[in-house]
Amino acid sequence: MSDRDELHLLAGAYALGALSDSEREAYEHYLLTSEQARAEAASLSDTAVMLGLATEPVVPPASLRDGILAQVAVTPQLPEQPGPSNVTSIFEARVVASAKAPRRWYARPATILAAAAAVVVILLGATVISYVYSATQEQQQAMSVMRISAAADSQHATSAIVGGGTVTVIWSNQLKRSAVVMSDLPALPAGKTYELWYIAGSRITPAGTFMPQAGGGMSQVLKGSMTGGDIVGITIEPAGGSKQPTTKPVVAIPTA
Amino acid sequence: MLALVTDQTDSGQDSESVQLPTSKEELLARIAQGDQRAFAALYDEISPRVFGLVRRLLVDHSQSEEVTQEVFLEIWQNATRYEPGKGGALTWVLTMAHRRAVDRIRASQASRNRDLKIGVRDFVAEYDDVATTVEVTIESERVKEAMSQLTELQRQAVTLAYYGGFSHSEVSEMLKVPIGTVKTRLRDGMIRLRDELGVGS
Repeated sequence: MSDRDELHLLAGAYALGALSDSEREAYEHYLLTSEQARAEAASLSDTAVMLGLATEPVVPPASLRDGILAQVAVTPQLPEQPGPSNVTSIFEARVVASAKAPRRWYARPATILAAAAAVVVILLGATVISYVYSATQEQQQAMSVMRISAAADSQHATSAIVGGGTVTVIWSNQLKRSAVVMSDLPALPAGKTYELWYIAGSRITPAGTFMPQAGGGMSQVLKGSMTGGDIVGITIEPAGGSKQPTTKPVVAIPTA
Repeated sequence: MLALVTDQTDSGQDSESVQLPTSKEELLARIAQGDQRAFAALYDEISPRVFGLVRRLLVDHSQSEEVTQEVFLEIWQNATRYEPGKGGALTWVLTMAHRRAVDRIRASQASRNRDLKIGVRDFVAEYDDVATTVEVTIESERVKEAMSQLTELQRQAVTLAYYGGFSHSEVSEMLKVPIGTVKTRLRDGMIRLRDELGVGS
């Protein structure tokens, strides 16, 4: 039996969520190469959803609703996936590159077209898969913020920033992690950066630097581990960050 | 991910259909714009489905609450990425809920041990019991009927994998059959269920 046949057999386990991480990755690679396999995987996943619909609905406690709605109010949403427009532009770039070699283009049109078609198939396949499974760095960052805000003991506090904008700190003592969600943050002059700090009395620990994104909104998980009661501070530092703050904080929020 | 195609027998309020788009997809579109009221409305509509499924897998009440919370925060964050052309809102959400519940089971050795103690026979029997005694939804009736068309081994393997959150190697161990056999039984069983349930592709 070939490897492809082996992978083909994983369709059921895949739809049921019964594969190990490495097997799932192998199967998803295989899906990129086969339209038929993608159709089967999709139909079996829909079938698995029917199994889910067959379970008895249970109304969750009202406290859960309150907690979720409160967290949603301070949780940023992911930007829309760039998606198909990128696929088109990459594809066009390839075709343009091919057209720059007119002799080969005219000499072997079928080859070029087949190659171009293959590029489209691979990219579309990748798009389909990435819709469900990809985690871009940005998404992973947002997911980490989400984990903190989803923790059972998650808390948050919001404060204005000196110079403009607001910041919400979300933290979990259980996870020993915190994150900041900023809005309307002013851009900094060249050579400067914002830096995050955990402050516990005279012990001040750097927790990462960041630059505001266009529009002044962003979120970031602080580096290192938080101790309950730490103050989360932000200062403006020379590019690259400092080991200890060199300016007064533009904001300081106690996590207690 | 493709849409579920439901047939004319599906008049239940919880069914979704390509022909009759429910408001859940519209709610998701509004949630993608940051509409918190739409989010609350969607929560009220589908949280019993999510919580019911998650609790079916995790059993533990407080862990089920935590995972349900994770699922809804993921809905909030990812609503911008939801594409109606790739499946109904409930399909999207329940797929997410199942994956998160399974992740939680895999991450938790304690619940793992508890599940293994329950044992295969009890587990499958419990499933049958639930399917016959709870207030019967249209889906549970149809799924029960479709399940009855599977071989014993297919049915046990599918039940342990989906409702138990067991990996196929664990299923192989529990049912004392080679892993290759479990793979083929899971696939054959799911194909049979798909065809019995008339899930289109």
